[in-house]
Amino acid sequence: MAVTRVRRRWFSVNAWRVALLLAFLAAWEWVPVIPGVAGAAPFLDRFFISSPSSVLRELGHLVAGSRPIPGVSGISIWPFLETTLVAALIGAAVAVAVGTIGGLVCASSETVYDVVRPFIVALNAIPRIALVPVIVLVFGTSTTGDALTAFLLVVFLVFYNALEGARSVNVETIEFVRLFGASRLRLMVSVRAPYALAWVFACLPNAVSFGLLGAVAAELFTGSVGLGQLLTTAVDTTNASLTFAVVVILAVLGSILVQGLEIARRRWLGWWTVTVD
Amino acid sequence: MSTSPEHQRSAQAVAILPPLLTLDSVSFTYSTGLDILNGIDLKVGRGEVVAIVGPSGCGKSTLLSLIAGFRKPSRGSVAWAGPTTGRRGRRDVTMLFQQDTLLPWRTVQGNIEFSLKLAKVPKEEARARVADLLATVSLEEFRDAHPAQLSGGMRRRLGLATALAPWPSLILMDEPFAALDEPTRLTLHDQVLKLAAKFGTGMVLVTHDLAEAITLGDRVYVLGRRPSSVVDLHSIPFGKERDVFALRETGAYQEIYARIWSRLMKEF
Repeated sequence: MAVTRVRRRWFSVNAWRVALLLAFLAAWEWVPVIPGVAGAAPFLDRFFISSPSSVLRELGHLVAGSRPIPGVSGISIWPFLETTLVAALIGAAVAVAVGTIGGLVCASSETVYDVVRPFIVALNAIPRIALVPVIVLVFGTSTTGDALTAFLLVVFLVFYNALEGARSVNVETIEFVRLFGASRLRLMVSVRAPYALAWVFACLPNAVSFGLLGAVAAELFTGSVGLGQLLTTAVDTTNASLTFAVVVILAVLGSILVQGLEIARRRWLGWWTVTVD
Repeated sequence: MSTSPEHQRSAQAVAILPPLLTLDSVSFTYSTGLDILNGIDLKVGRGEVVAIVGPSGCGKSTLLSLIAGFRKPSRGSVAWAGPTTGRRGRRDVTMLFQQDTLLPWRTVQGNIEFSLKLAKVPKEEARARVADLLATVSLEEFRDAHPAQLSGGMRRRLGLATALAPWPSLILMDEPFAALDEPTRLTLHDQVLKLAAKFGTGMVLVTHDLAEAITLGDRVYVLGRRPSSVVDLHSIPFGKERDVFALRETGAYQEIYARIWSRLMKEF
């Protein structure tokens, strides 16, 4: 009985999802061609918003490497994708490592945290995108610059999660361990670190999306050969189909990464969520 | 302090055994100027179970942290006659709290092993102790489970095993059974007494539950209002082999309960 109910529910949830998606795509495709609509509401003009069929065609060209572009013949999405992905992942990975260790150390030593706190608050208050021009000046058009931008966006997010996680250990556990004569290092490594890691894992989907954001934003500025540059090209050539195609690719990329992280989290952090009764 | 007959009798009993722990007119004042404890005299013999009851906020937990060595008394002294370890002469004491102090990513067995590792028990020895402790708290079947998969009572038992693992001379207990239902609590009382007897471990039990204090304690200290001192002390004449389930039906138990209760009520 229960199994059938669960399955029926699964079916109806997915049916609704598909229905919503199809309704949206249909409206996107056909509302602009209703006579008089594009004239009354210019933002519904296909020139600006393209159509699902054109975006799909564009995606096909990009994936197959047969994208005809004025002056360039047969560009493919893969090199662009690779550049952006590498910059985003390197930036995010380094940020996760630095942020986790930083948060863990600050949670373990009140003195260290007291000393560095005002600097961290001040740095975190800077709109990170404002630093991109500085990064461009220093690193030029390079993956390093793009990765650094991704790093700057992600590192504080991870830092604060690691800090809170490492501090979430209850006082009793700390006193219990201290009564055994455990050193501060032992306390940090054996007790605080797993809590910090669990919290960091919880913020990884955001970290990945911030990493992509940083990398793409940097490419928009620097014009290094990534998805950001492809977006710039699309806008410069007023090609709405290409713009939306790149947006779709970014959405798919982000979703795959987040889903992968969720699988990893369930695998390694089962203890965090497993509860009976 | 009162000089009831119980008081004198227990004083003699303590004089025979060399006391493990002696608090001599211990006072404690927080840095905010709040007086918590005022001239506490308390002794714990080897393998003795001492229960401490008193009105809430009377400083029972503060008293435990003084015994643990987390705080220093403002006046008076805490003398330890048991074994010490490390360069700083750490007392051979562990603690059991109302909250779980288990590591959720470690299994049942892993949590006990962690205690043994912290206590620097050699590997061979540790393996034998893990098996013994798992059997003692009846968690052998759950050795590979994580704490989140256990019931509240099972987590308490595991907590007890982690506290007992280094074979401490004394376990400090801060309301360890407060969050449990009555049948679970009674079952645990029974197990705690047997374990304490088996390992010869002394206990200092802080509780707001007078029934628990009498059920487990060899002696019951009654603390007064803050800043508190010992206002009464009772010897509990039931011995180590007591039956915690049948005990509460006896006239002797009810008489002691009524006597301590009437004294305790004056402090509320």
